[in-house]
Amino acid sequence: MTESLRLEVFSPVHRILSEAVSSVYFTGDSGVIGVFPGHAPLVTTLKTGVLVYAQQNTSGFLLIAGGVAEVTGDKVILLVDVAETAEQIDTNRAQNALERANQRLSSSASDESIDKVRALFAQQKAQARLEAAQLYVNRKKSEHH
Amino acid sequence: MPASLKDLRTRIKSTKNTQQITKAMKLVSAAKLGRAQHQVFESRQYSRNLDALVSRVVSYLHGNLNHPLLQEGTSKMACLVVISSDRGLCGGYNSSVVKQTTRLKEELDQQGFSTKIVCLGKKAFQVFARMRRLSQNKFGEAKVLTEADYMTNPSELLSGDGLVQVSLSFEKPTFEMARSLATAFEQLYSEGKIGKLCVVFNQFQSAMTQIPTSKNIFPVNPEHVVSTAEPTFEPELLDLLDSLLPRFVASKIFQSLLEAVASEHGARMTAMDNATRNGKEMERRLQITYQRARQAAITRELIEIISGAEAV
Repeated sequence: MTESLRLEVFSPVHRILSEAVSSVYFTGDSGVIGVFPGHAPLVTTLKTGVLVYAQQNTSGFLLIAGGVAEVTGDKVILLVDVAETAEQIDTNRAQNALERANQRLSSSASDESIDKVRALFAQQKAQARLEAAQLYVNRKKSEHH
Repeated sequence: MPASLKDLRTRIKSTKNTQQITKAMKLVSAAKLGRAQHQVFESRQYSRNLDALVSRVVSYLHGNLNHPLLQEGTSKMACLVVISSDRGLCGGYNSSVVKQTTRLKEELDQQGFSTKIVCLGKKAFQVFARMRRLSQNKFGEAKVLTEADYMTNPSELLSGDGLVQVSLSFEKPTFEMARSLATAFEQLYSEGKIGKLCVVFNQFQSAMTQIPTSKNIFPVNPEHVVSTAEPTFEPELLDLLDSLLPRFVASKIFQSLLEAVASEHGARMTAMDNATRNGKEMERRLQITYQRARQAAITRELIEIISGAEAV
């Protein structure tokens, strides 16, 4: 498979990624979207989730939380609010965050002071972080064998 | 020779001390400039891509601008966000944004707008407060807002007799800071409390040049581009704009903030470099005066001794 797609990911403070890839998957407004070369032009908002991109021999993973994406011809540009590469993710912190969010969500039924939307968002983000980290670990393992 | 030798010596010493301070300030600014410049360049990529995307997306509306943030505001109230610094000693940095703001304010006055000023940074606020004091001969309310104030009640931004200061940290501007400001202004705009919003700041070009610039934020008016084949929108166009435009606004404010911070360090670096150079020149002149005075004193003393010896 040729790497004829240009994937660029920007956050407001950094350029996070600029790679030639053969395919990309990310969570768009209506679910996971797979982009291969020759994809029809598309503009979509992004939901919290894991972005997976494939290159000839390898693949990469990013956590993405909110943003917009544009697919034009052979270019995929993602303007994200927050993104982390799988290498950067601190699994312990994500695990703690997930537990905290779950706890808040379960007690939000009785406690009015808890912002349910924020807790939900935090939960999603932590889950996606863990997922991205897990994918990364799995890939490393398979490379060793 | 009016000044005594001792006075001259003290002056030379003090110019030397001043030079040390200005030199140190220059070095500190140079280091900070490096970091700020890096941030500006990194974030320009995001904002440039977002600008292009918004322009393209808006072009598919085909002039039918039925999103509230794109429509011309009904209110004749304009708000100017002025980004200056908290600290001085940075040459013309602050006065050039103030001048730019005054010019813009006059333009808006002619268009029939009344203007309110929101200052990010103490310096511009002080200047505008003084202007108001001189023109109206009264002390206005000096209102300083924090993020929590305008988050809970955005109309606080328009209080304080039309002049408020928002205190924020210029050391580490974050996107969240820009976003909370953007959200507050967005609410004011959609409630019709303001009909126009501009930011005034120094655009960073290099350490030597900063260009005072003003940018329109509301109504959102992206560059016109010719629309090509229409892409798929998810969600549909108007809902997409709902999430695109607030990001666009926040990114504009954030970018302006970063440009301003980089400009401040650049301006201070240049100003302090000039100050050091001027200090050197001054020290050289004082040194010459001192040596002349010293020589004159010696000669005078010699003459006195010789004439004293002759008299014996």
